[in-house]
Amino acid sequence: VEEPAGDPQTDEFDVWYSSSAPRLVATLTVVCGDPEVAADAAAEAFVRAYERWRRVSRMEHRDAWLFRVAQNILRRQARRSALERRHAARWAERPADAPELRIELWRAVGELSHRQREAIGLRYVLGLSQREVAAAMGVAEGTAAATLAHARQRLASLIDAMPEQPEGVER
Amino acid sequence: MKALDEELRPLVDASAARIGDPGPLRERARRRRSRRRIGLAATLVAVAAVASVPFLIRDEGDDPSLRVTTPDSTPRQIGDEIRIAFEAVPEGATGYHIDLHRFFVVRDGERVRAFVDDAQHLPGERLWWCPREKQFAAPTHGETFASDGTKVAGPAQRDLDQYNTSVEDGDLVINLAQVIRGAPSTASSTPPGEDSRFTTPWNRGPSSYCQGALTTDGVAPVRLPSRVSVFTAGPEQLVTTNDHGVHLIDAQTGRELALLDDRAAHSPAVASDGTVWYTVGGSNEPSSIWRLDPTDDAPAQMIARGFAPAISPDARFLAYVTGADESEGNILVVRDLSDGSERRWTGLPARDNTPPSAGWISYLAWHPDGTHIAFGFSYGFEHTQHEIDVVALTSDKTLADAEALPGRLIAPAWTPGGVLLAIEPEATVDGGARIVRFEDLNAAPTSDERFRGLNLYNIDLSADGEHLLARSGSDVFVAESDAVLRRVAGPASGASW
Repeated sequence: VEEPAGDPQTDEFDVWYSSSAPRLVATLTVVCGDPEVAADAAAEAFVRAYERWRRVSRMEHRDAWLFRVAQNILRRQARRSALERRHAARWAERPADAPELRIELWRAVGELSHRQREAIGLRYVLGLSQREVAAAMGVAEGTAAATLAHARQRLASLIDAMPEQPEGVER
Repeated sequence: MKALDEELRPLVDASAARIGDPGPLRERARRRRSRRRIGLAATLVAVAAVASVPFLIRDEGDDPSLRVTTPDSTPRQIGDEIRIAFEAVPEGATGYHIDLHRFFVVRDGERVRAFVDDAQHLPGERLWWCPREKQFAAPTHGETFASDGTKVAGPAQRDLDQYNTSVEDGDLVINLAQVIRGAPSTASSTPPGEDSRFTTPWNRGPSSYCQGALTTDGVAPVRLPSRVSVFTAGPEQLVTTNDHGVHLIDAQTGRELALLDDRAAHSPAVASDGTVWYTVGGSNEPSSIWRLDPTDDAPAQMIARGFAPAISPDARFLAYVTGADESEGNILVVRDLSDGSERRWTGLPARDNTPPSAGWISYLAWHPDGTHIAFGFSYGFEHTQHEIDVVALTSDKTLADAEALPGRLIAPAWTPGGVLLAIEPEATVDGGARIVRFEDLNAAPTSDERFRGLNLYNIDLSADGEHLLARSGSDVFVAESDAVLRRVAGPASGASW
């Protein structure tokens, strides 16, 4: 039985939610390509976070944990109907492009592999450190760095003049 | 040119508009927590009060406070009793699985019995209720019991155990603490192999025995029965997959005949020799291809890395897809099942500036004469672009010169006469799909509007070419040549004749 949260600090949760939820939704949108699916998965992840708030609130890499939970939710959905997600579900009402972004950038992101999109989303949308990116992806830090580097190179080759950002520089 | 995080920033701003207030999310979390607390409290009470195994009502609902006021086919657990509104208990047998407790309730008018779901022989072996025979059966050694629990045949040593039941205030009360042990059996104990009907009927007996078996979890998680070679002989039976496994379905009645319990199975294909092939896993995990010979007990893994199996019309070749390699893209493989040799087709074409590696092959379909394979090819961002290509197996192993059919099409299938059918999604004004027919691959197709308004995901023709199945969402429909459309199965993630 999961520990029942004693007296959850609602205010702290709400503050975290309002700062992290938009970034999480945007990150998941980069990963899965669908803002609605991303928003649903993010909402469910926050519900689970609040259920375990006493524990989650003390976490060092709370956002990384949250992403992993959301990513599992997405994966479960994808597994449930693997073929449909590949071929069918996306026809319906899905905006082909995210109008908020430059079209070239959005298309280029779509060309990346799933792992590369994860890395880009975690680093540049969710704003995690490289170490947290590795934690969120469940890989070694070097692997995360390499994935990020490849992803940036590929984006750059897809979009002319995409600037290289030196990695390892924490923001 | 701005930095990447700044470039992506508008997506965060737009997402802020997509998120709701945290209040409802907190409320959802609170409800779940309180459900767990109730469960915990019930466990403690039960342990303290009766010092027996803790039991909890398996929680399906959203809000426990609602369940208390809801009448009443839902079993309610109070202390060591399960209560069900007597009038809600169906005639015949119903299986219940409430936390650790599994039992069948058999109602015959005013007479009700609750049988412990225990086949008495192997630990964990579950009973089947055979609705047509009105008997219980145990799948491993074929013990059978009458609907009053009396042993009929097989090696069981006693009748079925029962829970004590009573009726109070309109409720059937099942007392889990009072088990009435079955009487020692007086019926002759039939050694395995001597009674052709009751010993392992699912392997050797008539395949019609215990059709549509019911367990306390719903349907029977068992091997397929032996006589499934009729799979492709006609329109009688089809195979579907869903979260419970691979199902054999009577195409006329939609009744489930058998189930192979493999929850990760999808993309089934039935070969002309009656074997069933399917994919396990996928999406973010490696997928493998399995073969189920209905005359064997267990399915066998045939391909460690691959998906979308399709068996040639002569059942000699397996075609599948592998190699989600980032640089190379998908590969079409044809394996000779007689000697294990393989031929590989690489070189997916680039489309719309999409590198081949970003495309997916799936939905393989053999031409009836075995010379060509049609496949679906999806590409573009999130694979929203679709086409069907046809590759000649005499070609020099490149997919680049495969012939692409005009139009946005998925899920090819051939008729026995060599007509190619495919699904054109979102083709009609109401957003539904259309099935198109290519009598000649070089000529414009004709269209079939029978499935108008449905979003179709896969189609397949019966071996006689007279029956078409189509899956829409999780529903499987069958259309006959006279245009009658019937829903026969679901939920399903895939279907095949």
